[in-house]
Amino acid sequence: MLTAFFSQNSRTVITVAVLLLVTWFGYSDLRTAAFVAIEPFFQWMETTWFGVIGKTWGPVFAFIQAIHLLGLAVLGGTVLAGDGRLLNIVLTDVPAKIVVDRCHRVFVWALIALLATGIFMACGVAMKIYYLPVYWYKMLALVAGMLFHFYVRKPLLNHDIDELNPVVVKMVAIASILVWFLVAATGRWIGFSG
Amino acid sequence: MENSRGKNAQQRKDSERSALLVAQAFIVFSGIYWFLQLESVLELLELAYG
Repeated sequence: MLTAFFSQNSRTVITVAVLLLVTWFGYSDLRTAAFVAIEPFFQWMETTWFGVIGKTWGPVFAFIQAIHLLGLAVLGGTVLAGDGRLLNIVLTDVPAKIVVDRCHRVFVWALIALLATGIFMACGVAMKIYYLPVYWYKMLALVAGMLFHFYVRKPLLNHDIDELNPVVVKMVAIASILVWFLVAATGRWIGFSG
Repeated sequence: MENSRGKNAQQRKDSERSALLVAQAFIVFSGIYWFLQLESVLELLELAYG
């Protein structure tokens, strides 16, 4: 009976488990221990080629940052277009499935560009960001956004959108916009800090 | 055929439930987070300008 329940509600059960695990981690001593344990990794990041190049050649850092910001702009565009369509605000003359699928394809490439350039930039300022609380908020939002996009939003929208509960679809669109807005805002906050 | 349709409906319900859970969590978290940020800015402005 338990097996049947799990197989029929596997996605919901895993989602609840992850949400509970993240909440528990946030309030446990393990978070502080992990923060201390990860410091040598950030020190090492500054000694890598990326770290040395990022710290030594300002123009290279600026060039990579420009690509990072362009990636963020493209990603933001795909989120606004895709979720705006789900909210029936933009591109209402095109079927939602087409808009969502095409936005997803561009979203993946923008995310790859963001991650690649983001790792390079993080190496250049590793110890600065390590002590910035907003950096950890950004990482939390980024991981949450990626898990949400690939594990929750995409599988949901693989079904026939017209058959889905419209309230759920709209809430997913709002949540998606909010989480990527948080990623963008905290990212700019890092740039603004120190 | 009927069995496959039933399984698909079950998967859709499962996806909808998990999406609803996460969407609610994100919306509530965002609301609290931005409310606290705005409140701290207002407090700073009050300290600076009275």
